[in-house]
Amino acid sequence: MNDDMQPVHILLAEDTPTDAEMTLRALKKVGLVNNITWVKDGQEALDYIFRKGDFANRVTGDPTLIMLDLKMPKVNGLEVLKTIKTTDTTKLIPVIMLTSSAEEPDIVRCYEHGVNSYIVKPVESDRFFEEVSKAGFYWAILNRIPGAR
Amino acid sequence: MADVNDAESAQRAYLITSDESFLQAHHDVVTRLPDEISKLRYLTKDNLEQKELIDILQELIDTRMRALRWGIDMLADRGAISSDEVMRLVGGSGKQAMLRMRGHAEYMIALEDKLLGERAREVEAKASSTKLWILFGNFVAIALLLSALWLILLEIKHRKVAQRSIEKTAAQLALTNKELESFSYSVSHDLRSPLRAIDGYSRMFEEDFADRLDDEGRRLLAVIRVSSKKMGQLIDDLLAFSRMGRKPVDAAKVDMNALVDDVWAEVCTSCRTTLPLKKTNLPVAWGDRALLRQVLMNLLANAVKYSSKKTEQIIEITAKQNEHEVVYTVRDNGVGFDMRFYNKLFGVFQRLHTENEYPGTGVGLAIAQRVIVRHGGRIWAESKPDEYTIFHFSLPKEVTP
Repeated sequence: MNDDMQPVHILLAEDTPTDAEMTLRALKKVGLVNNITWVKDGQEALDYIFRKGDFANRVTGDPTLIMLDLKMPKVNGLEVLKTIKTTDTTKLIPVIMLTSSAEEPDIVRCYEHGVNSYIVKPVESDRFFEEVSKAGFYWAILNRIPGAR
Repeated sequence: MADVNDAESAQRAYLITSDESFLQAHHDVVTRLPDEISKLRYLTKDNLEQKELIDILQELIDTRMRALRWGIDMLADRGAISSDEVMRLVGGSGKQAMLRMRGHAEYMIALEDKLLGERAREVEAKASSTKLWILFGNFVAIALLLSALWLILLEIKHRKVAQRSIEKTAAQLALTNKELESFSYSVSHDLRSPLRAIDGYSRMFEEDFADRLDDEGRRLLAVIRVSSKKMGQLIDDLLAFSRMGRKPVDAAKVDMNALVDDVWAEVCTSCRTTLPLKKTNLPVAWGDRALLRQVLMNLLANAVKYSSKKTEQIIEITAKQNEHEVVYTVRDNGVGFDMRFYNKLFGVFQRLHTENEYPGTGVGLAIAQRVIVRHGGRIWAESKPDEYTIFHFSLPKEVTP
């Protein structure tokens, strides 16, 4: 990557460890490995974003890009998205859905609640690594993110 | 009675004057009398007593008339009658007979008056009973109306119960359907995740340990990856099948000629050479274009696939229509199938050929059937192994499915 790379911190909310590991590996391919935090459900994601619970005293940076799985235990991705987009301090953070669902109603609901991008995880691994790497590269590196510190 | 009197007067006058004109008057009466009597009989025919009385009256009249005749005949024979003889003839027994006759007639009249009175009373009685009957009739009519009303109300109640039961069944069916859809939806999605891991981790293993793997190790990994891809395809097809059941049918007129050309162009991108499709002019269909496209795609791709081992592939699409429906027919000269397994033909994931012979997941015909059934049509097939396979599907004309 180039020298004037914007500082990014990615929050990845993914309940499936294998999907999480593969996503991290795909992001690593484009040099995005050191500034990623992985949480395992929607509640953890909200705790991290709003410095609550286990993350009340976190030292890692505030997220500048959030990747959400849709189907997660406790609080699902759509609810996390709604909270982020209806809170003044977080509503400008780009949110990408990274999900297995290609169902139209899911896509529509996410856009209705202000999602910035919607990506369907391919089942086939070659395509999975390729597409997740591309998405990471575009959103974290090419795309200008507001309030990046 | 007056007639007999007239006859008598005329006879008497004739006897006295021998004037032929009086005789004529007498004759008039004589010819009129039987008519008058029979008229009287007719008028009183319902009364046995009067009949007997008339018989007696007739006898009296006959006797009297015979006596009168006799007088006239006598005058005719002799040319003249002495006044004594006239007096004897017209008076005495003649007068008596007349009196008896008159008395008899008066009795008859009195009897008839009495009868009239009785009839009047009878009519009056009948009138009041008629009123009762009318009242009774009205009552019966009202009763009938009320029972009809009751029956109608009962029928309405029955229908309401039946309606509710239908609604309940429909609701249950909708629920079951929804549950089934969400079941297949979540199964498909939940299956994808471990599958992605199998394929993804095989790839990661291959990437990270490539230098430590020999040919056999790479072969085993390749099998894992091919199998997981295959399963991914199955899940995608299952999802497509499930989606097909949920997508509402958006029916409109569909130009089947254009649609078939369009589909054929897509199918033929995977054909070994440019393959002609024999096509007759196809009638317009009534249905959801996207869904019908899927059906044609599945049927035509199958036709190409299953005839691919023939030296000359012959594929054709034709159509027939009647008043209610259009039947489209796709025919190929391919490998065909054994009609003994026909009941498996349209089943999900059912295949009549091995994966190695002809690749596929066995969802195409299940989707085709589902689409056609949702359009209110039918799909069926016939085949002779190694000779032909024919698929027919019908679509109703302009009805909302």
